[in-house]
Amino acid sequence: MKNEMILSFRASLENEPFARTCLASFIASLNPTIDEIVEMKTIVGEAVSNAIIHGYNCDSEQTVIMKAMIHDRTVMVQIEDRGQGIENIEEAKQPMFTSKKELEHAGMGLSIIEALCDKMEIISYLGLGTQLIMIKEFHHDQDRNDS
Amino acid sequence: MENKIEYEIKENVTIVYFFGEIDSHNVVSYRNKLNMILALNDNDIIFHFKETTFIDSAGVGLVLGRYQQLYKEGRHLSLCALSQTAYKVFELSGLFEIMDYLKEVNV
Repeated sequence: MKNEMILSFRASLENEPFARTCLASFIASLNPTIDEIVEMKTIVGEAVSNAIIHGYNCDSEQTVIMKAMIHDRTVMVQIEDRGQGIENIEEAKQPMFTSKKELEHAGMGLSIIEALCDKMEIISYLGLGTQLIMIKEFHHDQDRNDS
Repeated sequence: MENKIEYEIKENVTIVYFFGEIDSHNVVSYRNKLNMILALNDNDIIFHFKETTFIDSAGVGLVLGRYQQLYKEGRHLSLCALSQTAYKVFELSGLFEIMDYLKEVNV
């Protein structure tokens, strides 16, 4: 099965629940488990809040673009901003690293995404923006253990 | 489900129940509410997540911030009833190295 979607929305944190819920509906045809849905929502939530908070410094006049593709049981999600870009990607990926300590950020967003998806890639250029690409495989119904 | 916080004061412990979702959109208002609840007395605290449907790294930051605040006052913070994914997220963030995890509350 193949499917594809694009969503663009204002860079406001109010839209973060909307974006993750939207993706959860998009993947419903894969008949995912509750845990798989929550994992997917967590991944998208982290990526979208990164784009809004770090990419755009919460400037809600800007736009975040979410693209998603389903191919068989593989889902690829891409979150794109045209914000400030990441200066040092390796540093940003370190657990507990945050550029906004005063806001009580845990600095765990990218580590959480990396742990919950099968593959993550970051393309970023200072002044041009960031693309975060995440790939997650969904198990077949029959291989599922109902624990 | 509505996103809200409720609390219950027992003899030596205050239990805080989180309903719905905890994300970067609502952590700021939650932080203010929690600080108000924590200031009511000097009880130890349990954060109860049985009715929490979603929690992300902003939630980790919220919990960690309250932990540090309580730790300075010599008070104890325990976490209870996280979903499978939320447990993974908290474990990854190293929270169980400094806080106790309870499957259920017996007080």
